[in-house]
Amino acid sequence: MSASAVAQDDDAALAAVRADEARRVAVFDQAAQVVVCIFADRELSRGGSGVIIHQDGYGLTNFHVVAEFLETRRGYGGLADGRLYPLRLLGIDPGGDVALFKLEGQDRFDFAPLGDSDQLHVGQWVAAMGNPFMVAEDFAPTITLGVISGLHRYQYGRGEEGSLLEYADCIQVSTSINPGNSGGPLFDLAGRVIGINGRASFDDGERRRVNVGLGYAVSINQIKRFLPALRAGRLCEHGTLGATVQLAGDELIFNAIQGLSAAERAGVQLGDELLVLAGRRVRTPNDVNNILATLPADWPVSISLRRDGREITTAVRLDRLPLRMPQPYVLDLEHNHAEVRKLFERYSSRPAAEAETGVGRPAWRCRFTQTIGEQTDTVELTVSWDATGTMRVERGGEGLTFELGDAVLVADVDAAPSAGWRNKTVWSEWQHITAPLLSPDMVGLGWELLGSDEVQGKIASIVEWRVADGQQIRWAFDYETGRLLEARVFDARHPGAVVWLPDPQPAPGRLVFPDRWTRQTGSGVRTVIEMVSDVEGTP
Amino acid sequence: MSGKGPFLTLAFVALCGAALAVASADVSPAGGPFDAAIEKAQQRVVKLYGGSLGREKGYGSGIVVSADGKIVTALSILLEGRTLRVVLPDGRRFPARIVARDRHRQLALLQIDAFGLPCFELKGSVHLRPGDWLIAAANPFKVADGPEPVSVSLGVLSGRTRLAARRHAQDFPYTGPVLLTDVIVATAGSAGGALVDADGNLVGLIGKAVTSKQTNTWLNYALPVEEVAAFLRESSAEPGREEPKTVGAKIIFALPVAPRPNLGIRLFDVGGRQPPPYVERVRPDSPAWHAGLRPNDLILSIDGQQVVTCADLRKAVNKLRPGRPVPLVIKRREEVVTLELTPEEPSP
Repeated sequence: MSASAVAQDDDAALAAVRADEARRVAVFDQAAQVVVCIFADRELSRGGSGVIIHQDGYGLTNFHVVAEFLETRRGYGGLADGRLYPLRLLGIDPGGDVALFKLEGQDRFDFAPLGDSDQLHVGQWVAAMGNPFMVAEDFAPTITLGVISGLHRYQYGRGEEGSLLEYADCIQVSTSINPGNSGGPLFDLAGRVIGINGRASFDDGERRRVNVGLGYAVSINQIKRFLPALRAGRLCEHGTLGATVQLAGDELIFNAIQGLSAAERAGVQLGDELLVLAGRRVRTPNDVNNILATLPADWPVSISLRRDGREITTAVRLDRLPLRMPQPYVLDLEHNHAEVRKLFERYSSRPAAEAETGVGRPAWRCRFTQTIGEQTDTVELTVSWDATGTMRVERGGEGLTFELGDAVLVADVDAAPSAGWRNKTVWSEWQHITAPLLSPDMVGLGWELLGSDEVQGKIASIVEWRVADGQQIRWAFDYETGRLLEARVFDARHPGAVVWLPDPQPAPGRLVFPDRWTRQTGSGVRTVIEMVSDVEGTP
Repeated sequence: MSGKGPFLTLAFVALCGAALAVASADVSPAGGPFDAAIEKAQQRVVKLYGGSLGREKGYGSGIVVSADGKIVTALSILLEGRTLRVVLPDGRRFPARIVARDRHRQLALLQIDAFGLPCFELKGSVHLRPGDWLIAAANPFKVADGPEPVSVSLGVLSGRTRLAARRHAQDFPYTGPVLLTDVIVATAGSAGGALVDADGNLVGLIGKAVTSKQTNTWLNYALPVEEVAAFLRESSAEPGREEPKTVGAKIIFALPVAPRPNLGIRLFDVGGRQPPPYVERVRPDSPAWHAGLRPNDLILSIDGQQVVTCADLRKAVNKLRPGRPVPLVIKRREEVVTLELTPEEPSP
């Protein structure tokens, strides 16, 4: 190769490096705009870091950063625009060292998208941003660059049972993490939040508390499971199996199982070999900790075991890991109701379709299909609402009338299924389930955003409405898309939940009122309501 | 439902308006440029667990230099424990024995009974220029456990120099060439780990954490791979070589831990220039144990010879004759006690 060809190659390589750097600078410049310098007081003397993850100003930080103002739930957040905003503390997760806050004083905030921390690899470049040693007088965050040094790391928690500030399945980085970085985001090179920086190893005793190249970030995928509960303003709890395993050779053996624990309910026996937990192959007790400590209490998990050479797969909901807090964390009901309304509003946002929404809309022709065993029965009928919210179902001069709030939900659940479309329970349930989608303003007393659950394999926000004594409806919304996944109707007197499944939405992102609903009961009765057209025949 | 309009067409306020644009996906590829080098290094670095004393941690790192279980690490207290355990990258555990030590380079060669291990080739480090990429693979703070891969960290070669360093108050014996890097490797547990180039070739072995005599700061350095190779040659343990060669002056095989003749004690000999001879541990059924010596005793004199430092004691013990009982004066709390001690033959 000639000298000039080499020089050209060098030029090309240099140009590529420069382009890469320019892109990195641009990404970090944008990312820095959503990093928050958190302060406990106006003197700006104590605090940490955070990051905005939603346009309404919701942001993530560490619990140990906001523990300073747990009582008032009020602090301050400085952004790179040089302004200081009031900050309100919402949900907390002391076990996972995570907290959710909301910046106030602006309608819309820039925010960072969340990445997928299961797709990371060791050696990949990452950047930490925050306010180490509180050096940022103008709130412009400090950026430090490094690589992922290790994944699926386990760092013991504090507190009596080690259940506080436990870093399980966390991301280890070589990026400088110093006091003050706590709560700040860990970004990938695309500007996505992949973790919340919160801990570091220091040569305590021998040297000061300064970075020696080992920082730890809570993985964003763990945080995603708690986000619905954090948004609800709750004190989050983590899950446990109520059992321990130990290595015997290279087999993980259950060596202790608490009575009435999740493990016992799942049918696990002493001496069983644990193979797979929550979909992940486990080899060491650390693997088990890494999985369980990242799951909320009551989370559904599957367990695969080997017993006497046979493989058994079972499933159970996790128990609550005891969490000792100095004082109870009281739920802010007003905030909680606002969060519930937000979930329903995504289906009924005004003003574009105002004419069609709310009570007092025109009548619609619906197709009603009921399947019991082999027998299917289909009828067409008309459904209408009047201005007071009363629903009327008619067919050939025959009709049923319901007022919202009538406590008839599952009152005649035992009525002969052959009653078909005249089964009042079906219509009453449907009215109750769809009403808040059409009129979110009805949310008030008796409503609550419960928190997170896994529904149809997705992280869901669960809303509960206690309709009447012993009767509840629970809606599950996909946290990421806002789509309604299902609604369940519970009745203390008639155990066995009824599930309503709306049809999957056609277009991603855009939420429209589902035009097909399927109702399933524990006894196998399947009912479908399809909206066909309005009474004038306009589809 | 195609052709049939939805029951209610409801608008939806876009939530993505203010989201930061995500840069194109190619910046976060499924594989990075260092993946192969990292994997190669992680498969050849082992975790070590042994004795601890005071600030000296009982864990460290080592590199596999032969498929039949030869491991090189930095000399440290952790090798002097009752047991020395090696955890391979696949999680298998093996007891290790010390085959050779190099007091000058502060290296040790260990042997485990394993075969078919992935191992580093000891080539060279001269190809590296300052600014070239380096990857450190080690187990600082014993973050990785069992089969978990050791930690990796990325940086560059800062330069080469000769080491002039101190460890606590004592001068560090090695004064030969070292590679300097901006990767922070002067951390607990990193010593004995690998420094590899961007292709995953071993270029250095991370040394014990020491401070510079000139600047008093912690040094991030590695012994060049050439020095590791020289140690192996001198200890006639170079992989593939069958004939044991003469042992170099710097190599001492299987030096017993306790002073000889064997008393069966370990002294609290760390930090400080002239540590007083406090007893750290007494091996059961040893001469010291039979004499009634206990941990935390301070030895004042032996066989009539006054001892002030650990070094004094070692000198005095070397003069003793096995089998002949001698008086041993110790201070135990506020009491001065005289014991009778019969030294044994030095252990092989």
